[in-house]
Amino acid sequence: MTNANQTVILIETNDDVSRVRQQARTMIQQGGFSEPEEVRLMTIVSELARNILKYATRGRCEMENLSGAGRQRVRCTFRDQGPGISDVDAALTDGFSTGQTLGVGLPGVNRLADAFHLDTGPSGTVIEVEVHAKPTLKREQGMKRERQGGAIDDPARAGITIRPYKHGRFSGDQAGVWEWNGKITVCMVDGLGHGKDAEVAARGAVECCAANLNLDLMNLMTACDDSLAGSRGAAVALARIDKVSGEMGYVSVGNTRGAVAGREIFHLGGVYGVVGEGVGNARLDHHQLKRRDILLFWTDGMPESLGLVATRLRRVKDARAFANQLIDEHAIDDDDAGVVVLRWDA
Amino acid sequence: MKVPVLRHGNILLTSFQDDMTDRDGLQLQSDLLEMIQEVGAAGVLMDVTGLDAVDSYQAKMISDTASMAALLGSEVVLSGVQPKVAMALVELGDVMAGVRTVLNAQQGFELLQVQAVDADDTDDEADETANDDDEPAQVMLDQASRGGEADSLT
Repeated sequence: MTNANQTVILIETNDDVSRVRQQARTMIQQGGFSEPEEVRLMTIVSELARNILKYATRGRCEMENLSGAGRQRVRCTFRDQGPGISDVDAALTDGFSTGQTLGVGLPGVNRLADAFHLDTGPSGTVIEVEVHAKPTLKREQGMKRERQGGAIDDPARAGITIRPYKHGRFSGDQAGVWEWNGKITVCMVDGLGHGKDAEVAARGAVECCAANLNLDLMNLMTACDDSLAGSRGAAVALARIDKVSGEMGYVSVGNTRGAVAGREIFHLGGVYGVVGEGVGNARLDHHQLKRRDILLFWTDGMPESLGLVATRLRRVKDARAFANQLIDEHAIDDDDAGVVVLRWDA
Repeated sequence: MKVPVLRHGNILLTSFQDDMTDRDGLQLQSDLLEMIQEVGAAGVLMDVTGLDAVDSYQAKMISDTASMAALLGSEVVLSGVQPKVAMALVELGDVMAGVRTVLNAQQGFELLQVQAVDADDTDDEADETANDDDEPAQVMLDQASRGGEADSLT
């Protein structure tokens, strides 16, 4: 069984260690992975192949490139029929080795891998590891052109204002508003933490939305989750509005806030969680917008009660100016702050 | 595949490659140690630019080689650890701790040459100190010979 995306290598001699390494390199060089990810994979497979030779004499490695559907990853499964690992906890502790080595092998692999699963018993050991391609700023910037296509660029209708923490270069808050096929999609993202990694995660989600406006909201959330796997993770709120009827669906994972401000305020709920670590608990809800309703999403760099403010000032003529005003007047100082304002006029 | 050890003065230079087998690595280790002794190498530069991924076995072999060379009295410098390899190595565990490293072979060579020259200087100073006693004798001899010449001139 050998093709571009899947291969099996028998591990029986010392030379097979370098064969496994080269195969790992070939597999990961099919695209989407950075050099450090390539090195991590090669180090991992090298380490595990050696373990098989040392403790089980022989075994095999199954390598699969599972790229596609958003999440790019390589999975390697090492199987042997050796005596098994008698004390798994100890084997995963630095400095423990029953052979004459440094004893960093398994714990090191555990640290290097994005996913690590170990199953061992007297009839053998199976170790499954994955290396994921992380979204990078560079790659996302490459996708930007695509996103401009459906973005709503009418300041009266939609405004996005982001203010990075301490006015830094990077912001973990990112947002987008797009129109596609008679529907408006709104996305507010708060990447975990601050700085570059937070921005990488947040951008990853926004770009994922931009590129997948054809998906329904729940699938769009899943696509975001896939594309953020291995990143910092983020809080993501998504809404989709039918331009004509004002019927709105929304789904939110994490601590971004949302509200519809009209004659009264309606808060949009969500579930706890981190997008990038599974969104199985996400829930799609619906709300009917009324004329002149304003949809607001904001991150925890803004007060939770922001919706109330919006109700008081609800005659919003210019969504962008309003978003700027909200940030100027209400953003708190110790976090990235972001707000999206969308005015829906039937 | 035998990995060559190059000699430049009293500095030895060798380079670890990605396609090296473990056997090649061990062979290189013993070749290097023998050659240190043969030529009385003051310094050893081990370049790992060619290593794309280093697992804990290889890291141990490299740091062991460095320790062994150091035991023979050679200064050992490791050069050319690639950034991506450094990232993986630290996550793997602090497996290269204790090995002196520089950015590239050029820097390693300069460092070792400076040290080799320093060592030579020290030798010279030692020689000078040893000569201190001789010098007055030399001067006296010079004077004597000059005196002799003077005598013969007069």
